[in-house]
Amino acid sequence: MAEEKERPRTIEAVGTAPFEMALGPTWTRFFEGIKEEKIFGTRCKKCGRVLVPARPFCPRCFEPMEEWVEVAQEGTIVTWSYIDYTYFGLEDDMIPVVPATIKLDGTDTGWWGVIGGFDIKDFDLVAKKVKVGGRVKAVWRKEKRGCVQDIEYWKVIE
Amino acid sequence: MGRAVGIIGTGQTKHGRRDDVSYPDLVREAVNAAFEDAGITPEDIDGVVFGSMPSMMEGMAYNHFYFADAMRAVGKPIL
Repeated sequence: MAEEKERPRTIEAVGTAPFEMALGPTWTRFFEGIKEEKIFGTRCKKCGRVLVPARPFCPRCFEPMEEWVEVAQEGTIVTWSYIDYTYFGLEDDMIPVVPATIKLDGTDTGWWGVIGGFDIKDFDLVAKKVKVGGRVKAVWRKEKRGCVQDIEYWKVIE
Repeated sequence: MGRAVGIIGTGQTKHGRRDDVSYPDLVREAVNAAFEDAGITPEDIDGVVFGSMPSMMEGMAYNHFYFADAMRAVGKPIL
């Protein structure tokens, strides 16, 4: 009476872990600036680099970074990509997306942002407009939440 | 047999509800104290061993990378 062997099963489990992450004084001040459409970095007194977003200490010199600098809202594309498929955590209406690393004028590190403001579904158009070394400018949302998404996208400067 | 090891310095954060500083800020508070206690600099360190709760309970993946610079582990192996 051999029964057909059942395939080993899975069970569904959902884990939920809500978090409240402390921003600390540096990032609190940084996001207050974002609400006012200002981008702040901090300068290391030892190596002189300006890093964005503002940081409490220099990751090379390990010195406190206490000098605040309002940086430019324009910069140069260091690298970019084109994502046109969904994966875990992305909804269909979130793609395609053109993420880029942007070096804001007067800073010494990359800023992560998404490029937009035109029909990015048209890849040929994206490839034509978006270039490494190309210039972009921040476009802000009207409603601010005090987070990096308050910058809606980075507009290509023709 | 293994090589002899010794604890040459320790550091702790102030205890209590600490929502006044970020996670890396908090790590840095203890690490700075440990460096000061041991009287060494990052140049004296070959590698860094860390311990924490599992990532999921910390609210982020690979949390050791999130505070690697706060541990002064930049450019060094982390275990």
